[in-house]
Amino acid sequence: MLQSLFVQFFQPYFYFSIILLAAAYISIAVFLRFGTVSHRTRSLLLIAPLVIPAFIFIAYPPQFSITELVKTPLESTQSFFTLSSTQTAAPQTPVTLTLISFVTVPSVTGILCVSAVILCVSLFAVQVLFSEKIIKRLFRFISLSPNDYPNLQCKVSELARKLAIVAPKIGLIEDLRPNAFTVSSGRKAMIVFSTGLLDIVNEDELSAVIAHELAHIKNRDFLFKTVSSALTALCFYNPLAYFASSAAQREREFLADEKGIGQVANATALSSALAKISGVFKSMPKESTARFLAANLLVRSSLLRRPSILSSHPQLNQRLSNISVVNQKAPFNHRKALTATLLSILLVLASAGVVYQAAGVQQRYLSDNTFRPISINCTGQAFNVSSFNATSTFGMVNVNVTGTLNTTVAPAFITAGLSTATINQTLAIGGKP
Amino acid sequence: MSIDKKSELPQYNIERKDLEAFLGPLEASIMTAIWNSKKRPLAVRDVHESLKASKDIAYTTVMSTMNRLYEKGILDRQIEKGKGGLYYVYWPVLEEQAFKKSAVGEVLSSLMENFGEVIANYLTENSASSEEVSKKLKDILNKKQQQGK
Repeated sequence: MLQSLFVQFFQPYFYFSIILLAAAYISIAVFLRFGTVSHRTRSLLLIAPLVIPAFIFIAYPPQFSITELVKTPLESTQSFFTLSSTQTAAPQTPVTLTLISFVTVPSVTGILCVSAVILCVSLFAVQVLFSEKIIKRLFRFISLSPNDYPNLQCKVSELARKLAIVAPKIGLIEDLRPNAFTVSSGRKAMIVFSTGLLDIVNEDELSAVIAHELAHIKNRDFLFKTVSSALTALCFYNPLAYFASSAAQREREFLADEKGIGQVANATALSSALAKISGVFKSMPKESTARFLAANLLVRSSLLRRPSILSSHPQLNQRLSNISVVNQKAPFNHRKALTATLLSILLVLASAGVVYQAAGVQQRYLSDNTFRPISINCTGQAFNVSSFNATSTFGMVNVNVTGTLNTTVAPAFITAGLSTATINQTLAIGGKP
Repeated sequence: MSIDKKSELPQYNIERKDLEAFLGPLEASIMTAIWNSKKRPLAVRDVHESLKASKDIAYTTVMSTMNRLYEKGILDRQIEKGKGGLYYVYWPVLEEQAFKKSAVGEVLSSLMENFGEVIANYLTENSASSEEVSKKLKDILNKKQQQGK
């Protein structure tokens, strides 16, 4: 079984993408330790390594089928004949006993690879083309008329003008849970507010929330989320991709908080709004799984309650802490950053060297894929196989056959599929014919 | 069963007709829509959808009016978890006829209590008017009996 698993997964595409991805993220962690970079840069650094599998796919396309050893069980043979060099017996009907053969089976890596590419492309297309329609149906939001919440509509227009973006459409959902989120981007962008939110926030807090959502539109966060989701799908079998993607989304939230404060100039209002919303949200039941999944994929949602490491939103205390130190970031240390960059590059190169060596071993194994059945053919003789064992390791097939041969002619003529061998000895047969 | 007496009592406006004599025009429209609806209970958006067809009305207007009707004790509500999230759903405390009977009963009881003698004198002195009133009442009773058959 281990052999089978090894053959299945030990392909360059698979281990390159996993190991290099891990190496890249360790490097980034080292880099970020030494210097203070903006939330925008952090988010891009966290997403960048997810393109690695795409390049590896081009350089080392995975195999979609592999050769596996199939051993013929002894009980399935026609009959047993006694092999003895000392006895004589009448010639028997020729029997060919096929000991082992090789079959081609689908490669799990190949299937994973194809699935990842399909998932990536599909997700990207769905998010770009259908997100608004899906969200509208799932959340049942209402488009506001000019008479609905005129104050809210004025604020959105005014703050959009300050951020030099086109005022987005506004939607409303009849939900007692306080929430606000953006859907789509550019001219199709829409900010959706829940009635629960509009009931609890005051004027300043509402302005802060609006500014935060408008900042998402200004920063093109919907496009960022679309791309990062698609890249994460490309590595859907790698848990590291989910952690990195979630961390990148959290950085975008911090970025939106900063941008929003820049326009509102009232960090207190934003902090107060977040604290109020969080407090009310905690007392309410969680939303359904379908809505959560849709929100995770298709919207920039303000508040979702999930474990922090996989949450697309930072914890409240982290956000409040970030808001309080806006415009007070430590200066960038160039020497430390340069050291960190060099260390990171070395780490990645070392990892690449290690996996490249491993690839050589794997290539030797996978290239040996023209096996032929190994059989013992004893025409006109009687033979008996008393035990049989076959193992295969790294392309070398070892066959142990013991027994006795009834023959007057010595030595018995035995052919193996790949080379002539002597019975009662280990047949070491190379991978190539 | 009657409207909760702890809530706001219906005000009778003699210049308006039918249900609007007791409720504001928008309140009357909303209550009519709710009574006529086959679906119970109803969310604000359901009522807004049905009213939108006949008049240009803001969602928030419907929402605040239904909230006011709840505070008056004419509607009751509960929180429901559904497709849109957590929202209130409303239903009438009394059906239409029961509401009208209760509202009219409140007004008549008040008139009788405060102006019982005046009412009796009015009916006695204005025999012609009282005959018209009697005739009207008989016609209404006959109609009801025929509908009951």
